Amino acid sequence: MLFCYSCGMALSEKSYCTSCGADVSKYKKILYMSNRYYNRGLEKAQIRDLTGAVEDLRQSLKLYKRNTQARNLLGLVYFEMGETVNAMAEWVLSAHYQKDKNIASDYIDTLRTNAVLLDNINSSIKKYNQGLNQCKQGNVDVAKITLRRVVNNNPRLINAHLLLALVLMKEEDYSGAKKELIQVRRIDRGNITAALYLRMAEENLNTDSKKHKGKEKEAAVTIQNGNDIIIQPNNRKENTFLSLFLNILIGLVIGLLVGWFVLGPIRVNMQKSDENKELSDAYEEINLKNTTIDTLTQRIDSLTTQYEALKDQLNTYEGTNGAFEGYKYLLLAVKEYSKGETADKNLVAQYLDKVDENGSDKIKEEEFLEVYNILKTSIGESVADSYYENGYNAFRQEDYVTALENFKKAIEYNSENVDALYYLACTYMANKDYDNAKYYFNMVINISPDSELGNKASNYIAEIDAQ
Amino acid sequence: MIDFETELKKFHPSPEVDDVEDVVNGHDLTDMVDFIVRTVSEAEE
Repeated sequence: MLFCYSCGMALSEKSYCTSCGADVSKYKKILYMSNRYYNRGLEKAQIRDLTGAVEDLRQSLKLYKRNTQARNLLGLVYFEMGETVNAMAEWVLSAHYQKDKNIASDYIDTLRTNAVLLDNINSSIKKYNQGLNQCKQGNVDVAKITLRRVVNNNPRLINAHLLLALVLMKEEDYSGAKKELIQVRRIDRGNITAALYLRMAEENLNTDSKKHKGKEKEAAVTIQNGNDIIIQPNNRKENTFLSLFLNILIGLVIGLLVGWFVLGPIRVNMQKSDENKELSDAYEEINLKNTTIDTLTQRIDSLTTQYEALKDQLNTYEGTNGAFEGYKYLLLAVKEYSKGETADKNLVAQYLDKVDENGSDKIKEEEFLEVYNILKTSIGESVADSYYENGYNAFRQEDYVTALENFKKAIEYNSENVDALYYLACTYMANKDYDNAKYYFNMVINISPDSELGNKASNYIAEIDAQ
Repeated sequence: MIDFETELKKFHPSPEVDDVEDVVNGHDLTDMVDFIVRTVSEAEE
C-alpha cells in the first residue's frame, strides 16, 4: 500500500492522488526502484555477498528512506559484518520511521538487554581501533597481537580480519594472511578488499613455491656428453675409503639382521618340529607303558581277590589260630588215654585244654568232635575231682583267683559236682560277686536240696537276699 | 603489489556503542522522495 507524499492518503492505480490531485507518477517509480534495490540486496544477502547487499540496500534507502524492510535488512547485514553500531543506527532510524509492528525495536531491545554481548562487542571495537592506531604509528608487531585478540574475541569483525591480513602480508606471512582472508570470505563473499588481498597472498605464495622448486632444481647439474644428457646431483659425494668401509659394514649388519630375522624362525621351526616328533614318540611310549601298567594292575587285583578267597577257604579249614594244632593235641590226648589204667588223666585233660585253647569249636569233622567229647566225658569225673581238690586248697589259702579257675574246670568236666558248685559259689561270695554266688547256690539246691550243702546254700541265699 | 601505507589509509576507526547517537545524527536522510517533493513545491510556488 502506497500513500501520497503530499496529503498522506492511500494511492490508487492512477498517476495522481485521488485525494489531493498531486502527481505521484515519479513518486511511484521511485518507490518501485527502492523496492527493486531491496530485493537485489536481499538476494545478495542470502548468498552472503554482504558488501553487494549493503550497496543495494543503501541505494534503496537513498531512493526511499522509509523503506523499513530495506533498513532493517541493512542493519542485519551490518551486524553480521561486525559493524554493530551501524546496525544499531539503522534499526534506530527504522524504529523512528515506523514505530508500530517493527522488528527493529526487538533487535535494539535484544542488544540493550544483553549487556555481556554488548560489552564484548564494544570491547572488540575499541581494540580494533587501538590496533588500527598502532598500525598507523608503525607498531605493527603490537598491532598484530592486538588484532589477533580482536578476531578471537569477535570473529565477525571483518575490518579486523582485513587489517590483520594486511599486517601479516607486510611481514610476508602470506599463509597466515590467507587464513584470515578465507575467514572474511566465509562471512562476506563479495568483499572486494578481501578478494584483492587474497589474490595477492596467493600470488606471493606461488612465487615462494616456485623459488623453492628452483632451488631444488639448482641442486642438480646437467652435463652434455655427446648426444646424452647426464644429470648429476650437486650434493653427490665421492666414495672415499671410509665411506666404502662404512657401506660394507652396514651391508654386513643388514645381512646378519636378515639372517637372524628370516633364517632364525625357520631354524626354530625345524627344531620345534624335531622336538614335537620326539615328544610325540615319548607320549606313545608312555601310553604303551600306561596300558601295560593297567593290565598288570588288573592282574594284581585279580590275584589279590583269588588270594583272599583262598585265604578265607583255608581259614574255614584252619581257623584263625590253626585248627590243625587242635587236632594235634586231640591226637596226643587220645594217645595218652589209650595207655589204659597207666594213663595220666590229668595229662589227657591238659591236652584237651590245649584243644580248647586252639578252638575246639573249630573242629569241623564230626568224627573228631565225637572223639573229643568221649574223652572229655571219660576223664571228666576224675579230672573234675582233681580240679576240685586244687581249687579247694587254693580256697583255703584264700587264693580265690586260682580257686575260681579250678572250680570252673571241675564243673566243666562234671557239672553235677555239688562240692565244686558249692565252693565256687563261696568263692564268688568271698569276691563279693553275689549274683554269681546266688546262681551257683541255687544249682547246689537244685541238685541236692536236702543235703547239708543244700541247706547251707539256702542260708547263704537268705543272707544275700537280706542284704 | 599491495602498498601497506596506501591500504592502511582505507581503514577507518569503527564507531563505538556510545557513538550510536552521533552515527544516527550523521546520517544524510534526504532521499529521492524529499527531492521530488521539494522540486514540486518549488514549481508550484
